[in-house]
Amino acid sequence: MIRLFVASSMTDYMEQVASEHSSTQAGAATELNIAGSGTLLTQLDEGAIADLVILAGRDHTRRLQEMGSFLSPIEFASTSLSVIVSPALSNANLSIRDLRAGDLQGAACVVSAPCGQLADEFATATGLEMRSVTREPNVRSVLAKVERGEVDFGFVYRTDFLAAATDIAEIKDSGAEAFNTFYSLAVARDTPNMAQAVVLAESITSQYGQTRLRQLGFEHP
Amino acid sequence: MRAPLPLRVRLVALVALVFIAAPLLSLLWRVPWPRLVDLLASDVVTDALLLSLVTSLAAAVVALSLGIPLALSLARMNGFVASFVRAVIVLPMILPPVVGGAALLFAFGRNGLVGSVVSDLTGLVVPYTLTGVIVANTFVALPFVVLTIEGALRAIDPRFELAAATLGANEARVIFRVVLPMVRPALIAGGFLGWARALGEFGATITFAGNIQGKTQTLPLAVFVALETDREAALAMSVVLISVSLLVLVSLRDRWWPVR
Repeated sequence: MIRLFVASSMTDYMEQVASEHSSTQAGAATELNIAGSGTLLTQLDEGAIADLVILAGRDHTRRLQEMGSFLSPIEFASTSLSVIVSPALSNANLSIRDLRAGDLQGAACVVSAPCGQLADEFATATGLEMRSVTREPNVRSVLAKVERGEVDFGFVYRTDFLAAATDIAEIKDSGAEAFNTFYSLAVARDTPNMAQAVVLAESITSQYGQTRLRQLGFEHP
Repeated sequence: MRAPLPLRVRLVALVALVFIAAPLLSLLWRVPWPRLVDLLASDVVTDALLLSLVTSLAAAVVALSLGIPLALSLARMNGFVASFVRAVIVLPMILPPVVGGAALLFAFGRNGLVGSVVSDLTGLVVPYTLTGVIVANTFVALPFVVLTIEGALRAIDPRFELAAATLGANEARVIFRVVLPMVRPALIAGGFLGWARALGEFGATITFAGNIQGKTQTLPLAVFVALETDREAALAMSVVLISVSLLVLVSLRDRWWPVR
């Protein structure tokens, strides 16, 4: 059983990879623990055991490295920030200026998640007030709130926006695409599943894995 | 005097006690005590403290105002109806709070059954506001209030009410001058229990009211966020929550649960 710790914005991709891996490699069942990168780090800090970790954010990756129990992380994908609006507002052609007015309810990740950090950096750069924005545990809950129309706008990753099945819209020319998050994977040292974890890691960084990532909207860093 | 327990039973009992106490003691062990006051003085913490205090107290008051009439009615029901109504009331107590929060969203959320009508008519939106926190807190606190008071009401000898009525007291007078004063300890216990429950509410709050510092980020939510950003602050806030809950339970002694 390979224990995978996955940043929530990599959910779709890793679920595919994991199920493919389990079906092609005999006996290599996988178990996914999906959460915000900050949460994953906290769990690892408190002794959780993972064979392969996929984190968003260079700060988070550095902290993982400092734990010392992982092989050197490999940066394998990146995505950018995206400001999305709920289905009800998807035809309203909103701009960042409309969000600045302050009468729309927004959602962003908590600051401990890279998507939250990125949203804050973007807000500072564009003079957006984040005080009344609700901070969600991870990017998936931000997306869900926007999709259901519980909030008017949200800060997610471009890839989450592309993967969304509902008719949410992205704010055009917001400048958010300049704010990037980088994904890294790291294999744990000295676990019984290390060999299997390395195989899985290689399939992610392989040409085939990269093509799949691009199809989902991720970029090669 | 009861018969002494077999050693095995006492050993298992000890394991159970340790199982409950050990995590709490381990948490207290990690608290940076000398810096506790400094940690509690930070912006995020004071915001959360104040917000928690206001919303939990408001929720306790609302839960009491709604809960006392409900407990009075429930205490007069019998048989299947009483069991059914009680089951409905207990639900928020045993339901995962996240489910409660989701249910609240479907009712009072922007697109909810009630919420959409209210926001169309008045422009008021409950989620992501202070009111939203109070609603979520009340939702989880109400069962404690109702059950505590109902238990006490059922224990009253009905002859007191009959006697008062015979002596010419009208319905309201019977309730306010006879029945409620007799269950005063339960009113207090119910209020405090509801308050403590509201103070600790997490799942329903974050789902329904969001997590906005200074607006809907209560202590438990701040602890959740701080666990990943500022572990020491999280521990300091946990100390506050544990102390308050413990204080409530100890000061109520066994009044909150019928002990013979």
